[in-house]
Amino acid sequence: MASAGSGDEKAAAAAMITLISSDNEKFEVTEATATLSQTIRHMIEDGCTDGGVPLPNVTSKILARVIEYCKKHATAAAGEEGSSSSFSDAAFLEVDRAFLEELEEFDDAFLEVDRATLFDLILAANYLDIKGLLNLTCQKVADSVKGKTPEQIREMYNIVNDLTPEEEAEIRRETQWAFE
Amino acid sequence: MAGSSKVAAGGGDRLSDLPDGILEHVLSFLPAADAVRSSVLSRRWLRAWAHAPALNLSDEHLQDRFLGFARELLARYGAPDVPALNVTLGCESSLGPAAAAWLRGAMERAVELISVTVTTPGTMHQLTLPRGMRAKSMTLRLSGVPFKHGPLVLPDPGAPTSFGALTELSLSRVRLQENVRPLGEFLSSCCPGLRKLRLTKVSGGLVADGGLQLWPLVLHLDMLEELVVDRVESFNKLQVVSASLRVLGVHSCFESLSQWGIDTVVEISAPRLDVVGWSGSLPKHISFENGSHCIRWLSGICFYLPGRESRSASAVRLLEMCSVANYLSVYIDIPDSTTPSMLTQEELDHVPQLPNIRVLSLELVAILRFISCPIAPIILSFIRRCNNLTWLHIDLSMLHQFSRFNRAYLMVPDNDDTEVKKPCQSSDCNPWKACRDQLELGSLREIRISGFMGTDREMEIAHVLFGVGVERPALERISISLFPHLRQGMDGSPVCSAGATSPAFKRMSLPFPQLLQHMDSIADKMKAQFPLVEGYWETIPRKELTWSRTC
Repeated sequence: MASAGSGDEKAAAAAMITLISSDNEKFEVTEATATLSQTIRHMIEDGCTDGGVPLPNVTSKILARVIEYCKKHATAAAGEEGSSSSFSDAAFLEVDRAFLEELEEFDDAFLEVDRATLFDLILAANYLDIKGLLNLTCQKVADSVKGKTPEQIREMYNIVNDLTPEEEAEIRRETQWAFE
Repeated sequence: MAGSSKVAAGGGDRLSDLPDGILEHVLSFLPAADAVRSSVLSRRWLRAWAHAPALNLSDEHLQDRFLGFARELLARYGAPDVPALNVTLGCESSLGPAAAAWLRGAMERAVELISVTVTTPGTMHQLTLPRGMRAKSMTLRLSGVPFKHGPLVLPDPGAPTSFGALTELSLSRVRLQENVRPLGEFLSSCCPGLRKLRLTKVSGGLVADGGLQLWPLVLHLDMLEELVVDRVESFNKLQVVSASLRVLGVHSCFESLSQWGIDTVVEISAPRLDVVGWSGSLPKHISFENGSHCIRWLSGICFYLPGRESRSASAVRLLEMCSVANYLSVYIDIPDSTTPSMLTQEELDHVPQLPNIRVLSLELVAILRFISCPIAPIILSFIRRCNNLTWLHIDLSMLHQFSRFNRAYLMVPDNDDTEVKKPCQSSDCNPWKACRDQLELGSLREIRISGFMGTDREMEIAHVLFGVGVERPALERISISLFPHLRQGMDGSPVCSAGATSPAFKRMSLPFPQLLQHMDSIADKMKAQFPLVEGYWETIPRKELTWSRTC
């Protein structure tokens, strides 16, 4: 069960992978869910997932959220590969609009987290190499600073200005073309 | 880049603590001006923007200062190569010759992607492509309105060019100079690596009297996998030779008056062609040189009522040509003026036999309240031709719009029960009962109906497909998703997914609490009318109901 038999596709689709968080909690996920992470995909390809995949950089709290994201998006991806419906022909139909809307809603709701969690998710997405999640979370941070003054951004994110007043004035002069 | 500054105060600075690559990734989602201004935040941020993998330029807040800004930005970027460059132009003042010249230079610096989008109603001043580009993907939309096209000049045919890296190209609202250098010749000789090509509203130039010049697009591109031409209304010929082409989309390209009376031609030589999406009229001559036996999937085929309408005739011709296809998705456009007398056997007989179709998706486009005919016979006219169907999807969500053009305007049935009689309940007076009994859907395994509101006319469809007395031995699953699509609002109450602020609810003909009540009643109604004892119904309230076979 644990070894992803390379031959039989059906067996591979049903194969389960165990992910182990930094605080030693185990999560059973399908291979389709796990392989949204390129990092884990490579591990599976190298055949080193027996006995579970330790993820020392990700806590159980964050890993649970990451898995929630991957499960939802793996269903979407399956529309292309054909394992979402019990019936493979369905995969050839366009993913219907309602489902795409649902996915967007899911993403919006998924991002309703406090700032600390958001940064943890960014780091986890980076470590696990989940492109969609990394884009989603980085976009959220970017949106939060868009159109804000440097003072507002510093306050929002506790950024300590370690530039001397002279240095700051110099930088402002140099980037004058981008201000106003 | 400056080392990160550890800060202890107030929970620390997690943003600045991000690794360089992620910080730069965050900056790549910002408008370029915001990204540059982040330099003054702290030492850590100094010139971090100059390594961002994407620059997003817009003249939105800059207006006539845009060009000065754009020049500074590229001059100060940290490397000669810019991975991705997105330019959005919304002011007339940014569309002049100087901007076009700047864009040409910018195109040469992008190594992954360049995208130029004009949003103002004007058109870009004549844009000349550079002699060479390294970008893998280029998207140009040179006008803010569909009926104006910005002129694009291709590199001089005599001079050496290099576009070898280009794999994806999308041109939209572009006017070519076909008499100087044909686009097909340029792409075929200079962009051999092209895999995806999309042309939307592209014209070949103007003739002396101001009319559209008809032009041929001849492509010899062996790497090309996907070609979509959308509302390119001035083709006299479309010829594609490609060993790799899998997907071909042709949408409303042979409708214009100037093409009438001309021998319009489409010739496709693509042995791997698998998916064909076609909407609108066919040209006079169409041929698939390697035969059409590889085409397994036909999508977007449009039928109109009455069935003799020329566009429906085109669709029939295409279906007959691609008779080995297994997957078919069809739009059926029912005019508001359709009456029961129009649904004669003759009218509904135009669909050819489709014994190879296994997966069928039907989308009905009509305003249910405005048509006075039942919709089940129209759907039946397709299904009864597909005897080997295994998977059926019927999308009804476009029946409940206030307008055909804006999906945000909902229209909810009012007093449906009194408005329409129930011809289906009594089998004797059921005009298409015979037809229903003829349906041989012995291999139908899954039925999906979306956009369902439980109106009587929709219920008729359910009766035909899985009503009492109907044998569906292979049926495993029915799923029905309800309309409108509701989701949890901020305060936990349901709102329409079109957006809480959308005009949808204001226009709705049913008060919201009544709508919810109506949606709740659908599930009960379905379970009562369709007992289907070999399985069981499950419901997700106000969203979906599904039936699964147990024995």
